[in-house]
Parts: sequence; structure tokens; C-alpha cells
Amino acid sequence: MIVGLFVFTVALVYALAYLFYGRKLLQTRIVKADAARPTPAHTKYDGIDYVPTNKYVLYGHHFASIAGAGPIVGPAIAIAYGWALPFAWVLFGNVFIGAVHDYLALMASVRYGGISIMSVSENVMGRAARYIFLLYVYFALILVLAAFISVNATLFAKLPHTATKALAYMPIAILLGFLMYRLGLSQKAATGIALILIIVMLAYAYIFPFNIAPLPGIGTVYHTWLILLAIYAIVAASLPVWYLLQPRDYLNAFLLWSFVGIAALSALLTAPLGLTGPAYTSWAPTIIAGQPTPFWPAIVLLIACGSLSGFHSVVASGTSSKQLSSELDALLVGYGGMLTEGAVSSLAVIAPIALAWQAEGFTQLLEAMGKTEWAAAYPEKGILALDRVNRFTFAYGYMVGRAFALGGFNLEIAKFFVVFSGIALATFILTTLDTATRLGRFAWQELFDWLEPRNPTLYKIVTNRWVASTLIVFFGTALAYPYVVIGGKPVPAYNVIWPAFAGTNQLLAALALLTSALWVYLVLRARGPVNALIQIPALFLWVTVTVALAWWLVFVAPSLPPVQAYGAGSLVAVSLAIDILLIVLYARAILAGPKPAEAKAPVS
Amino acid sequence: MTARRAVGLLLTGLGLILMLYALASPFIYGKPCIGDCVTKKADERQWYPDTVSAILGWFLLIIGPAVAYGEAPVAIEKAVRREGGGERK
Repeated sequence: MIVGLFVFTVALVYALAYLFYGRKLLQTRIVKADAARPTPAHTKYDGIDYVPTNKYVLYGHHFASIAGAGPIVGPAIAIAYGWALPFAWVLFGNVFIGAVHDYLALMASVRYGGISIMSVSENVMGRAARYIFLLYVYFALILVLAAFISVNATLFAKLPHTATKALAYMPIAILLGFLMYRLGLSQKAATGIALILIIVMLAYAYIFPFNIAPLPGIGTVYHTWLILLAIYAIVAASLPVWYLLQPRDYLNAFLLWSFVGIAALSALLTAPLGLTGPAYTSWAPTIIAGQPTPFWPAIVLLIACGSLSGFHSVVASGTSSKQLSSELDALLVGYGGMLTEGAVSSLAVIAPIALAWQAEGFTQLLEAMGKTEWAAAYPEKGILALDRVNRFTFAYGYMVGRAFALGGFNLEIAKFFVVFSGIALATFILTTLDTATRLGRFAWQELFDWLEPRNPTLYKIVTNRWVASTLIVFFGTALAYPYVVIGGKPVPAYNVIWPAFAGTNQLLAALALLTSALWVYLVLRARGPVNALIQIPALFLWVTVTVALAWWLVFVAPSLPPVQAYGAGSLVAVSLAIDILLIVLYARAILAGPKPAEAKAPVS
Repeated sequence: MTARRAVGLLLTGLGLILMLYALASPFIYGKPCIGDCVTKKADERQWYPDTVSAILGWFLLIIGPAVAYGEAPVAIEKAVRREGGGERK
């Protein structure tokens, strides 16, 4: 297989999927999206969360928010199967499950006044489903917050260049918002000014790291960053979306796009080169917790965001649905955003790793960047000698170094792009932090809607945006702050339950897709082959996630240190119970027959 | 000008001065970083004026404009009302 054929396959599959599966099937035949139907951003406009937004700005926000570390780290781990199986899973999962899941969650939310997919479930599965789903998502978001605040704090402490970038990025984003919305500058002119400033600041950040010291009485730089990031998350998640979130994510999208674009261009320039990695190594290589990990069902636990992820439905029905200006914009935002994320996995991660697996000049790059241990192991183990994040950064740098040397290999270009890909990864991660906080706030506010008619004053206090943001950040930080010893190593406490996160997230995907599938069948009343195209992937995902959770409990949990086996094991057991309950509710809803289109859940 | 806007603008101005000082500090003092560039172990680093300026300036630049111009821009609200929306919750 040559790189060119790989790129051609990706481009062809995504173009056909967008035009036929997305536009013709989902948008026109199933959802019947209509530009004349007003969206919640207009009907419930509040200037804070409900704000109609330009579709390209919203696409930037949605893409930057759903793209955490998942589309990069997942495929970099799954490459142990060889490149063909992860590649096939990314394409298949993206087109038939992930993008459908994101688009339908977005549109279902829009049709019910901008409520979350968890609250939409009340309309198709009953009130109990809604509260179970909301509680589950709230706890999952606490875990996401704990992990992302911890990863960011570690990143800023260990790679202070990324802290310099963040330092400059937020004020520039706010400036962009003011240029566009306050001063009325055209979007193009405002974007141009902001992008020039960003490029200058990226160059500055590449040269000057930002080294902070520990706060008195705190002890470590990690904990100091943790506190600063917690304050940032509360503030950023409580401010109006047009002020920081929209312009920041819009700018991020340019950085992320240039990251994907450079990968695509490099793949084209290296088109005649053969992939040096094996297409297939084994059906069950040793991956999760040192256990043989069968491709099915475990792949769903390894590759999330690049293929399908439950977190996306929370974003789509959380921040994005409240900003969608026209129903026709949903295709680009929901379906297109997910295909773009698949392109990150296939073009920027799987293709470079498959090219750099046993490649000439790669050892030279490792040595030039001081990675002598990996350089020594590389001739025997190939790219698998590197840790999961650096498989991606080094392979990315290597591919660009090959591409722009036109037949040779330019070491200096490769070194620069190893760092550049690290900065792009840091950008993916920081964005998720405050979006997760905002989504946690929404889930919290929806959880307490029953209080509003009973005690409006208490409801106002409990659901106040500053109170709700502070609460979830407090819980997340509390899980990331103390250290526990696991396997002889001190690690942040959230690691006790973190091994369960992949299962939790993918169960969310199954929940959201089954809810959307029910909405399609019961409310939109799709029937025949069109309906089957939604129901079959939804049931396939449910079966895959169920078997994966059971496999994890039986084979992985016993091999973990006791604290994790019990901590994460309990969470997976609860997830499995909810999973079974869900399919019962799904079957009952199908048997009960069609539902009215009006929302039952009070809208917050 | 309302008191709220005056306070917001004051905070923004202060934030801008602090941030610019922090960003210029490597050039002013000939250092290779912002903050402590000498101590090797991160957890033993010392606080410097530019470290404090950078953090304070960053938060002030995020909060200051929101205090001064925090309400939804007229441009957005006008567009929403033109299209028949804008009913506040």
C-alpha cells in the first residue's frame, strides 16, 4: 500500500458520506431540516448560552470541543493491530455511527428547544431514563474534568512552552470577539488580524517558555497550575459564549485545520512512498493492562473520538444546539465536524505512523531530539518502541520532514513539526477543559428543573451559572489534586477510576444513539430501509459496548492493582447495569409506538 | 460612562500593562523565558515580578472586558430580533 492510495480512500469515502449519507439521507429524508423553522438560538436567545452563530464559527467551536486527545491517542495505541484494522474502524465508525450520532443528537436537541440529549430521552423513553442519563453524564463529566485539568496542569508544568501559548491565546480570542461583534469589523478582516497575532505568539511561545513557581504552601508546580486552571475553567464556563468560547474555538479550528491540512499535503507529497508498517499484526495483541486485547469488542474502548464518542452527543446537544442559527447548518457542524475528526485520526495519526514504522531516517530524528533509548529499541520494535503520544508526534514530524524534502529527508523540518504537533495536541486538550465545565453546568441545571415550580428562589441559587460551574470544577479538581500510590507510583487520585472512562464514554454513545434512533422511529416516523440504516448501527453499537464492558470486567479488572480493580471495576459494573436497563427501556418504547413531536421535558 | 464600564476598562488597561510587561521581560532582562529561568527543578523555582504580572494580567484581560462590555452585543441582538426571535428567558 502506498500513501497516495491511503489518502485517496479517505477523501473518496468522506466526500461520498457527506453528500449522500449526510445530506441526502439524514438531512433531507430523515430529519427534513428546514431553514424556515426557527432554532432555539433565536427563539430562546439570552445573550449568554443561546446565541445564533455563523456556521463556520460554530463548526470551529464544535470541532475544537469534540476533538480532545482521543482522535490522536486512541489510534496511536490501536496501531498495535497493524494499520489496516484501526483505519477500517475509523472510516466505518465515523460514517455509519459517529457522524450519525453527532448529527442526530444535535438535531434532536434543536427540535426540543436546545435541551440535552439526556433530556430528549424523556420524550422517547420516559422520565426515569432522563434522570438516570443526566446523573450518569454529570458524573462522567466530573471524571472528564478531573482528567483534563490534570493533563493540562502536567503539560504546563513539563512543557512550559504550551503555557506561553495559552497565555497569549485567550486575550487574542477575546480581541477577535470584540472586533467582530462590538466594532463591527468584517469576519475576514477580524480573522486576519487575530491570525497574524496568533502566528507571532506561536513563534514567541516556541522560543520563550513560561516557568511559574509553586504557590507558598502548595509545594508543586503541578498543584499550582491545577488551582489556576480551576479558576480559569469557572470563569471561562460562566462567561457568555460569544465572548470567549466562540472566538477562541474558531481560532483553534484554524490551528487544528492547518495541522490536518499539513498532514494531508504531506501525505500527497509522499504519495508514491510505501507504508513501512504491517497492515495486520494480530487479532489480539497485548494492549489494555498487559492483556491480550481482541479487536472486537475492545476496539470501541481504544478508539473513541476518531470513530465515535459519547462525549460528542453532550457537546452537540449542549453548547452547539443552543448556537445553531439555521437547521441547515447542522450538517456541516454535526456531521462535518465528526468527519473532520476522523480525518485527524486517519491522515494525521494512522498514515504517518504507518509510514514511519520501520523507516529510513527515523532513528536519526529520535537521536536528534535526545530520545536515545527509543532510538536503540526502534530497529527491532519499530514505532511500537515509542510511547503512545510520541508515536504520533514523531511520526507526524517525520512525514512532514519527508514531504518537504522532496524525495529526501529534512531533519530540521521534522524536528520543528514534532514540536508543532505537540502544541496542536495541547490545543485539543485545553479547549475540552472549559467546554466540559460548561456542559456539566447545563447537566446540573437540567437535573434541578423539578425545583423551579416548587421553590423558584432556591432553584435560582442552585442553578446560578457561577454556582453550577464552581461545583463541577470543585469536584473535578478534588479528584485531580491528591496523589495516591498505584502500582508503586504516585499518581493523581482520579486514576483510581480512570481505567473505566473509555467504557463510560462509549456507553454514553450507545445511550445517545439509541435515544436518537428512537426519536427517528417514534417521532420522525422513519420506516423501511431508511430507518434500518439508523437502527442497525445503533443496536450494533449497543451490542459492541455491552460485550466490551463485560470483557473488561472479566479479563482486565482482575489484572489491575486492587484500588483500581475495585474503583474502576465498580464504575464499569454500574455502567453495565445501566446498559441493560437501557435496552429494556428501548424495547418498551418501540413496542409502545409513535410519540408526539412536542417536548415533555421542561426546557432550561 | 457607567461605573461598571469604568471599572471594567480600568481592569482591562491594568491587565494589558501587566501582560505586555511579562511578554517583554525576556527582552528587558535578557532571559530565555518568562519567570525563573535558572532553577532546574520546577518545584524549587522562585517567583519573579514577570511571573506574577503574567498570571494577574491574564486573568484581568479575561475578566476586564467582560465587566466593561459583558452584555450581548447589539449586533447579535438586532439580528435575532430581525428574524423574529430574541424573546428573553
